[in-house]
Amino acid sequence: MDWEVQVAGFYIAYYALMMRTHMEKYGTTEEQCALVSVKNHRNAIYNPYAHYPMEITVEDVMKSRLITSPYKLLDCCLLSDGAAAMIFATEEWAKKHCKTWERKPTIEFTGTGCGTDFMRMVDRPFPYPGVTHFRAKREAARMAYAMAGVKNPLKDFDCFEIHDAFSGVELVSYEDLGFCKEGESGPLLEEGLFDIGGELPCNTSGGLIGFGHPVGATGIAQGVEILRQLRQEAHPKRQVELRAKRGGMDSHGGTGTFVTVNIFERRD
Amino acid sequence: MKKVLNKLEVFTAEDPMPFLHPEGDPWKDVREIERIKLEWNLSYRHCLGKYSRFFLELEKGRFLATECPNCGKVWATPRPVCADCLTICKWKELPGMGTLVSHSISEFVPAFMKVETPYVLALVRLDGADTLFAHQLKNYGRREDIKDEMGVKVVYAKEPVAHPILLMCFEPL
Repeated sequence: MDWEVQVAGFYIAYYALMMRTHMEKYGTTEEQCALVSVKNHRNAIYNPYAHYPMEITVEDVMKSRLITSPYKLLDCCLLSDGAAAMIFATEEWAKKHCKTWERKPTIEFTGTGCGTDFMRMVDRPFPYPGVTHFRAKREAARMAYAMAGVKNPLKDFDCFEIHDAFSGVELVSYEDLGFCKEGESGPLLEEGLFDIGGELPCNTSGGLIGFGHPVGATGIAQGVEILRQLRQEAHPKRQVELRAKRGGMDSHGGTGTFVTVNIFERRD
Repeated sequence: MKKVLNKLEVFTAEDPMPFLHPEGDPWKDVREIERIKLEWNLSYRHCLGKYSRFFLELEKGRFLATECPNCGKVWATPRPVCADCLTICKWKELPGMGTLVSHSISEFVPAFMKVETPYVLALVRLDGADTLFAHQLKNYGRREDIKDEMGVKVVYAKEPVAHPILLMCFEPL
């Protein structure tokens, strides 16, 4: 890191390098990235705790100040302050200590997985998955899906919170989490697959871009959102339809250096 | 006369969550904010450790990578220990030519980094290396002239530099 600071190698520049390889390889466009920001800021409107709710257009994102190509200001997540907490307990303990037991649906933590990769992005095995995809995320998802018995993530989840540090990261994550094939994320997002009301609503909270990124609290906050969705406690305009009664979250540090994927299920 | 030397500004902060306060801002009495300037300088002696020879050779205009004597992988950026098989590596000189894998043009830099904008961060696959190397691309002409897959070379600084990694950068062939 000491060397990298000297040549201005910082997170957004690295993420930008990664996204540019994706755009070169699959033809993903800056407008498709911008659409992630539009969706997440829009979802945040119905989240009273969100840092940056906004109704914006792809054009607004495209016209915002260039930070590091292909990313503009509105493609970036927020620097937020915040706190989040979740309590995990055995059924036995919860029955004894939880006042809302019986009154609120039980949410079970059914799968978890983690994956790691080189902190120094340039050392990641090339060409597969190289710097285009998140190897650690694929491994984390594989472990978590196996534990929870998820076969077809697109059908088996009702909602998913994704670590959208930058708009393109969400697109690449769709692919690495197995929601679609490599290179298909952009067009599928345009079709509305990942919007509220779509096949698999992603970042209903607004994500890191719309809800906020209080670094240490971000991952737990994603879990809180999944809990709210599965208990049907979210704002009606942001509440997803429960079919599989299962939600997931994906959180990472570094440029996808350490990734965790967690799965929650509602038991009725 | 200024009574407080490090005072930057005084402003009134807006309620960040007006939708939670339909009856008005409960914090309005404490929304007047004074901003002051504080400085925090840290200087320390940093040891470049097992990477030192990489930098010492840059001074001589030579680009060194490390090669694993066991599995043969060539690490550039150099690594004292092969991350694949945990064998202690040997230094190996590379010609300093390579191919641009990806690049990003930045018009922003965090305040703590002393880098001029705009700048181009380049991801380069050096000839003879099995990993990539990230550094700035300079003297690229126009932005549109930068093409992935184009040939680049390591160039060495002619003037004294503020940090040994600045002894080198990339330029188009």
